[in-house]
Amino acid sequence: MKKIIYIAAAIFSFAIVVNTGCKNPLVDDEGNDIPLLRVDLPKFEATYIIEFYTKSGNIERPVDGNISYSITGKDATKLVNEGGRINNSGNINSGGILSLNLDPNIKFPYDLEFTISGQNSNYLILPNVIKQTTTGSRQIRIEVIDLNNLPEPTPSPSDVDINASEDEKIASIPNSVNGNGYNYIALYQAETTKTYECTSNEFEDYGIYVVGEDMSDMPSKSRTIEAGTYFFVVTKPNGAIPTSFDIEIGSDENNIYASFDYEITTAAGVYTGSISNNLPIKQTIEQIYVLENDKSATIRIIPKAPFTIAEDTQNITDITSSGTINFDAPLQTSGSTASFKRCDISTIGFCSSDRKISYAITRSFQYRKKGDEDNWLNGMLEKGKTTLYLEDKQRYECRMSINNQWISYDMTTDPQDVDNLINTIPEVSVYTITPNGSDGYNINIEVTSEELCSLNI
Amino acid sequence: MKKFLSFILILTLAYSVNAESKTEYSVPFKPSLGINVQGSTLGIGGNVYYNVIPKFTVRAGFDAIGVKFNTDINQSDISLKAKFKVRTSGFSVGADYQFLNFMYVAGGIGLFRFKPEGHGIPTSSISFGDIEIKPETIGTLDIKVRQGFSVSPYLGIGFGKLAPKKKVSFAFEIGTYYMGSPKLDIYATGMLEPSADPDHVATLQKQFKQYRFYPVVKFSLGIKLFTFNKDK
Repeated sequence: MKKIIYIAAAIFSFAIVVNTGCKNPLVDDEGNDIPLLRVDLPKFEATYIIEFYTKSGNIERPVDGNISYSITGKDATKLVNEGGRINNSGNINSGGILSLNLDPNIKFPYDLEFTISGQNSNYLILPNVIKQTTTGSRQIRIEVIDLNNLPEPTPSPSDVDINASEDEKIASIPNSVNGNGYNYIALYQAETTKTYECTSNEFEDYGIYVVGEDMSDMPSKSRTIEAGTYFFVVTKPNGAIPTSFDIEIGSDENNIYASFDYEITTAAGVYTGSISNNLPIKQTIEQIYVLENDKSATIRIIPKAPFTIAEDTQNITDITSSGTINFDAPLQTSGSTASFKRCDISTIGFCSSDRKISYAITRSFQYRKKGDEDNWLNGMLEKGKTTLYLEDKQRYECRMSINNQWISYDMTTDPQDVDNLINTIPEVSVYTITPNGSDGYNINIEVTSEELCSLNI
Repeated sequence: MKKFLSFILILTLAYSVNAESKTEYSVPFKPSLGINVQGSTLGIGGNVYYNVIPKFTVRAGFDAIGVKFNTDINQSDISLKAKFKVRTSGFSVGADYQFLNFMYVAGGIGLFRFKPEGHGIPTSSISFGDIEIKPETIGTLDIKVRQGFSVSPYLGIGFGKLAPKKKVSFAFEIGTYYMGSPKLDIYATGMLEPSADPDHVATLQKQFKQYRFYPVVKFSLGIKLFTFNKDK
């Protein structure tokens, strides 16, 4: 009897040892793969959302019609779309935007420079030189001039003399900078092929840029131009020097994605743009010019929906390079506070045929209430996560640009709507909403999609 | 491995059952002090034992082992060359009860360190649209495993003798440390950074819960150094 007990004890202990061999930890109880790796897509150190707009008086509106764009300059081949395709020419659909990203292999510090220009038979697009030396996302708005609704040319300027007739001057363009320190003054169209020469008693630096050419070089003071060709006269204010500085926007609530337009007025020009990031925001503003003897600036930040963050203006007497301008922006909902929920959204993506890795991607997206024709709001997934204020019990539509195509999904803040959403959107395999305190939700979304089956999305 | 262990077990049992009928304490017991030299899944090490009373031995010892190996992790488009280091070491104190002449139970606690860690680096670029993503942009992955308890209880059963009756003894022991659910630490850079996301680590950690036991298979050589005469 004793022997049996001992042998049983031995076998039992042996079983313990052998049992610790265990099952594959990367497979769950249902036999599904549990990915060891969760990966992001390649991270872009600089991203640009470029919008083209036209202005009639003070009213701005999107361009009606396709734009054929081209990117030139030193770093033209370093710009790619979200799928890594080199993106230095193409077409933008009517009302659309152009999304450009810096090659993920390039890390700052780096002197990035390129020129973007475009063509449309009804519009003339003011080319813009983009320069950047620090990481960041920029929204760049480029003005186009409606050739059928040209702004009236003002009487002959006294600041730059050019051997063009009054008829050749077809528009005056106030407050438009080209990004290279020059201001566009006027648009001309050559009536005959000839050499145009300009002189100025007022400006030390001025000249001609021909539309469609690279603008990295200095403008020409003398240039032979073909008949019918459009060209600009540009001037650089005397003593204009480039500067850059940081804008910091603090708020009473952090880690919420917010967007602001800014308008910076200096004696050298008016500079507009947009910054978006999670609060608190710190972003370097570049390509600002001030005058050596007048470094003052007025900086205005204008919040964008869905939240109003008090608009603020600061008058700075001396913008110095590397300085920081602080704004304190209390967060307020634009509608009823009670109808908004702070939503901590977490997304994971799987390839539909291979679940060996999961994706938690960093990419910008847009969203708006389902069925609304309102403007899209910008959001940003950071490693698959974002925090947004969304209206309670509301369905939203979201879209993300993948290889120049919009991929759209719905999102809901209504727990009652979850089953319906999963049933109607096959890519959404898991969708959960759980309360997070009294005024928030945690939303977990798992997407299984063919687009994620290769990094070449 | 299972077959090998089974073979060893059967041999040991056969030897032990055979030996049982022959063995008895026919001489008066004298406490003894000695050492065990041992090789086990905890590494190479040794014990100092003190055979206090008949059938009961206390011991304290240290084992350590370090193993390095390389492997490839190929998942979807990403291939990593992973270098793994497994370091196991432990200072243990315990007692053995020789309930039969050929069998004993062993128990104790160990200040036990089980530290597997791996460092993965991409072996090649991956294509992303028109460009190649360089390995340094893909990033690196470091995985470290910590046992749940730093002091772990041990239970085992042995065949043979740890404390020799004469000068030398042999023992084979199997047992396990209960080290608690392992904790995972993941550090990642570049595109692999989300692998270190706490939610992801928690999911993996749940899967690794099954590794709560550290198996011990040990061969031991006992050498008696001193015998104490109780009458003096």
